Amino acid sequence: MHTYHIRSFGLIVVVFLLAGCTGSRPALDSMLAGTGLPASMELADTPFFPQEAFQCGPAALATVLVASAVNVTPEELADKVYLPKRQGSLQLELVAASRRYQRLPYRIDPELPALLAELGAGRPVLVLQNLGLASYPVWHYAVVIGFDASGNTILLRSGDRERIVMKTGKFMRTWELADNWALVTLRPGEFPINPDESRYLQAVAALESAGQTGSAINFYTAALERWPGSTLALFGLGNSYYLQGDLQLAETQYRRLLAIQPGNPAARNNLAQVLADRGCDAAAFAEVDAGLAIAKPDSPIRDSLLEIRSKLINRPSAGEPEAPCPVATEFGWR
Amino acid sequence: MYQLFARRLLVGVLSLSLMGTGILPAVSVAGIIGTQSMIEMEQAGTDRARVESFIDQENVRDQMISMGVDPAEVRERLAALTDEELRILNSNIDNLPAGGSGLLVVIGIVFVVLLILEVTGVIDIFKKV
Repeated sequence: MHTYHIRSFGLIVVVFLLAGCTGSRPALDSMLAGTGLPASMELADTPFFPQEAFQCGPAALATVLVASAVNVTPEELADKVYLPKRQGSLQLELVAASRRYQRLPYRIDPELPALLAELGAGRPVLVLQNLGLASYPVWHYAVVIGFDASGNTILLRSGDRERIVMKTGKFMRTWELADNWALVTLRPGEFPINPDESRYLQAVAALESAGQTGSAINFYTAALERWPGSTLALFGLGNSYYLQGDLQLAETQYRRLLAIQPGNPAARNNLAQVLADRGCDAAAFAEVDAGLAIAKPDSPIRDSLLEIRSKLINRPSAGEPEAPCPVATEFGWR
Repeated sequence: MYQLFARRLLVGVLSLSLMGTGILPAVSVAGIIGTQSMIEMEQAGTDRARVESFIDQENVRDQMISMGVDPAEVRERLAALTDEELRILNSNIDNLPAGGSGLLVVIGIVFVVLLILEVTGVIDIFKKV
């Protein structure tokens, strides 16, 4: 009797450890219904980099970057993402390293259908998994390359295994324990299926702030074709041109933005700065005044506008500007 | 007036000290409002002081080096992160998930499971040991 109890206890412990005590999950075929995706698919061309000790971050990132036409190796990425003392790589650093290769790291919606849709578009998806327990996590990066509804399985490049066939339920459990984190690395002009405009543009802005202004211009331009009225994309595009020293194109974007949103003090500020740089003092003063009229009291934008004005007042009068300046007309500055 | 001077001095000294360490702050060019600042202002309704993000960067740099990252690599790793990401790293670099697995760790877990089964008598594979 005593032995029986111990055995039952052992079984229960093991079942809990292995099953993670979760409820039943929808099978793949019910998720695929109506999506237009095939019942099974595999991105078999996805490269495979067997992971060295603790290097699943560089290996998985290299897999998705190479799949998006970047020429890179896990060894090269290890210097950019690996944290020796943590014996692993952080999600934020995988994201940051993608930017250094002019790719847009985009976190897809945290649900399996979104992941399947990316595969359907031909993009392998980098995922974080917890192979351990919630209380004793074993973090692991892998790349999803396909699925098979008939066996209800997910296909992965993982660790030193080129092709792991994992039951959908097991995959979802390990993925859920890692907050369903999944990343795609996009090329300029490429969009995830069902992109979130704000998340996408924030990712582009981060690319811009990482110093990749040239590729940020490509992403913003494509974003404006998709979301023509996006003031954030216009603002970022103007700033990117400005950072590249292209004052005329920067000015064009700020003006496009102000035509949509005349009360945007940050755009007034940046337009004023561009005009000041071009030597168009009168037009710059006019933008400063327009900006001050709408900037909130004590806002950093107001400080910035005041600074532009004081620099304009204090600098020696500029020579003849290279390009003609806007002039005041009855319809405003043209 | 004195306060303003002190603040400028602090920013100046910090900037110089950062230049000395080889970290250049990824701030926008003087005069224009950066895209990231614009997003932060829209989200939070305020603008974080620049000095604060310098400090995040300094701290993360020190932590990365103490965690074994080659100091020559640190500068570029930091430059690829946004201010917000630096803030998250600064407050949590020790606890954020670090994917590395440790296939050994997984094997370890399997071993523990087998051991439980063995001890409780469900299986009998270690009998010969």
